[in-house]
Amino acid sequence: MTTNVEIQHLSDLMLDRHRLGELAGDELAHVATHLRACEQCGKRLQALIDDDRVFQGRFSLPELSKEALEKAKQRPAQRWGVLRTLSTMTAISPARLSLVAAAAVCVIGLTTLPRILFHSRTVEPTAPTIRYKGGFSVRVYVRRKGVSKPWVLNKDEVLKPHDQLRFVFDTTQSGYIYLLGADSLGSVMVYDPVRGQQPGLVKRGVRQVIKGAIELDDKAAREAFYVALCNKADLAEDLLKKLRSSEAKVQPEEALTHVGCEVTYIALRKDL
Amino acid sequence: MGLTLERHDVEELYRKYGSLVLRRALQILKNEDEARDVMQEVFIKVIGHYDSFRHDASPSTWLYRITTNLCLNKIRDRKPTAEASELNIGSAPNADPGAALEVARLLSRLPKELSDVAVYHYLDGMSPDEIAKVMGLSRRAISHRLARFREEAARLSQ
Repeated sequence: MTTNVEIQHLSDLMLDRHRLGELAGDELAHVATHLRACEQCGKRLQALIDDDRVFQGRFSLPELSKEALEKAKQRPAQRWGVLRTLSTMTAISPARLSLVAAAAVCVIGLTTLPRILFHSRTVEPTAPTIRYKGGFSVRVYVRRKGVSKPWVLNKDEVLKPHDQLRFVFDTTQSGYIYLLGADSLGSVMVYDPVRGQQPGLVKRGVRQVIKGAIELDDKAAREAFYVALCNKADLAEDLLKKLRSSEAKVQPEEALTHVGCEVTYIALRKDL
Repeated sequence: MGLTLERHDVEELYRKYGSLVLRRALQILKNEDEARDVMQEVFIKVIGHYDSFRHDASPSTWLYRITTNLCLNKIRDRKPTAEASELNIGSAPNADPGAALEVARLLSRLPKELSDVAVYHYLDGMSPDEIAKVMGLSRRAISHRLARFREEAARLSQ
């Protein structure tokens, strides 16, 4: 048995890690250098990217979760390879281990999968906007007339009355998150996660969702949403006051600022 | 489970890594139904081990390893009539088609610790260093297992 080692091309795994942004330092340098010189690996990388696009168009999560639930219920426990190994290691019969495994599957199924199946069932964003500034990112999910669809929100994206927006945060530092909105007609609002149901203190590296959606009214206007990551709680009133008095509500480029807060925004347009 | 996943978290994981998992499963199993079964199992594992998954420096590597293991389990569960030629070979640039066919033929008859190393090396064309990183073993251990695999392959081929 021989193997071709004269030209060590990049493996699919390495190309996937590159595609998914998991490489850094020496690994990234090595892959980047190789890709510049190797047409074959470049083509393979493009094939993986195309493959991913095809996948995005073919499958949906409900299909995954329903099937997974069914599989978890129906799969004969003795087919699980881990049972064979455990049986060998513990000298307990596979049948008895199957019962334990079945119980575990039921517990996992009952506690986890219903959440996946039923929680926020109608919100199915597939291409949310990501706005980065400093150490945190914000994703905006859009739902229109009860239907969510693939939608990339860009600056000055046109929204419709009654569109519902949901916001999700990732941070690399802990702090308190506030969500503020303003439109060119002069109305302003603040969602204070501390006083609302959502914990206001966000932990570094933990994804946070502001529960509930912001529903747009039916007046044509420019809309701007600000997300502030602050080092203090109870800043909602201060931020709201500042937003009311600033030009930011009509000129979002005049970003809202506040001591101890890092603020980012997304500006959108709402047409009738 | 230390952390509860929201539905959109699972969806995002699925969208981000689904194609990788499905392709990997198809590469080894060459059967879409089985590959999708494996994909379901992989994501159930992700849900169950989300804490360790999200702290892994390379989630892709974690998924690749889990998917490979589940596929090899599935191959062992297959009836012995499964043909080696049913396996998808040669898609990886480094793969040696002749060796890959031989590996495919032997997979169900080899100990698991040898078959996964053989898949990474002969089907995926990974170097021993890369396999060592994927499996969390030393390069020496990988080389040792590859040598054992060659011995076993020679013995089984006689």
